[in-house]
Amino acid sequence: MNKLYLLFLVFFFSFQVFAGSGKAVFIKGEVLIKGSNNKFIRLKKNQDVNLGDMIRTKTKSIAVLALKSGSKLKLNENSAITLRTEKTAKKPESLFLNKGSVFISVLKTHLTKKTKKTKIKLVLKTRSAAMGVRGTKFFASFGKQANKSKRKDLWMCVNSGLVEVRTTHTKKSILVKAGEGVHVKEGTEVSEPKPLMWTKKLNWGFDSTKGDLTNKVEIEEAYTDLLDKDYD
Amino acid sequence: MTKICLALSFLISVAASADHAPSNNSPSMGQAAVVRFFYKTPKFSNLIEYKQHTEVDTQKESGLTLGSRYRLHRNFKAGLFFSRRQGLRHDDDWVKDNNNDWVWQNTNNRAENFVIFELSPRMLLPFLSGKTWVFEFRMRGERNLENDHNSLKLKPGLTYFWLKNGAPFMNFFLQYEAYLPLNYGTETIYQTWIYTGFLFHWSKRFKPGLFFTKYEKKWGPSATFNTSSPGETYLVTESSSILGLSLNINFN
Repeated sequence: MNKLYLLFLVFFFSFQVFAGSGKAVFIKGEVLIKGSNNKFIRLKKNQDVNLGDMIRTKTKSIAVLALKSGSKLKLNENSAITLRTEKTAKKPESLFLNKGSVFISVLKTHLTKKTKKTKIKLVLKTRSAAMGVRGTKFFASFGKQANKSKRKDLWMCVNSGLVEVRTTHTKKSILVKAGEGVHVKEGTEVSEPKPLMWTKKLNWGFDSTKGDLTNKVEIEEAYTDLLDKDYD
Repeated sequence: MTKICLALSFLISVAASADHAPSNNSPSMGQAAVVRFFYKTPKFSNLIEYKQHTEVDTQKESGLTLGSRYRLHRNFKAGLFFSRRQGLRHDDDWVKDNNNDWVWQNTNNRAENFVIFELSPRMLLPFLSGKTWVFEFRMRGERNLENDHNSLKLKPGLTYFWLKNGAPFMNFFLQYEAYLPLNYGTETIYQTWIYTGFLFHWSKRFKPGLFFTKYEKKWGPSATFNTSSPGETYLVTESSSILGLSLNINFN
């Protein structure tokens, strides 16, 4: 009887942890959520987030979301992301980056017995590109917001694991390894993966108890590394 | 009478020393031209540089330098170069000619080889307006393979990058360079140079520039002088300026 009661409690509380598709585990500053009613309201810590919700951060604000799949997102300031679909046995989890930049941490998956290849667990999409994540941590950001021609640019770098990048313009996909990054110029052309010096300063932290989560690297640094210029 | 003789002897020796020493020289502005070729890889910045300038009298200095800088860290580069220079003047070039007159030796055709090791920490200064200021402190150790002179050159500098659409359009620089002789000379700082100028990023490949330099050199006794006038000494300062044109060519 006691064992049955214990099982019931575990079952009940697991539902309570993730009643929705995920939960906001850390909030700093002003973070908004737009649900099925199509209105933005303030997102609070420990509040559930559901499929279809758009989460938006304002200036100097951060949101960390823990998803049911075990993935975590850290949405930087002035950014917005939409939870599209949950992971199923056949399809990966799908997110849409509307604006700004996001850090994503995905649980490593097991090798399948048949293909011995890691399966894509999460796909991050933008208007122009799709990034299939095979685990574990990567960063994606739109280009300079102030410059209209640069807003379509997408920068992506991988901290650990492997990410497959594909643009909607060409069907060609490029694998990006840990320590490398790519530039999707104006959403059409993907550069060759290579180490990007400006990404060394990115703040990859997801746990607020271990330190500040604020990312201080500005995307402008991606365009020109002034410290690497030699003129004499 | 004795005192008068002594005073006269002193005056004569000073006059003689003055004759034997180079004159304090402030020649008119010289001209310079520099062309640099850069080839960059993710970690290495490779350089070939040729420069030529005229300073005092008809002295013409020229030099070809080639080498590479390696990016050890985002804020730190190390470099190794080889340089071949002509027309350099050293303290020991103050000699007596065939007429027994003191002159500076003509070194326009004398080639000297140098090995140079460089360290250059650099940092952004985001608290300055525009956030595109870079401070660099370049330290170079140079060894002259001809006369075994070792020099340390310290060069702090400030560069402002004027960006357009995220890429440099022009940069403006101000640098100060001090030459410290490590195993020769009589002074702690042997030469000082102040550079200022700009570089225009005409295209990804071609970047012309203009610079102005003000320098000061100190000349101490040459070996010939020490031999012929033991117990005497001199310290002469030469100062002037140079206006120069530069062209940087980037291969990638």
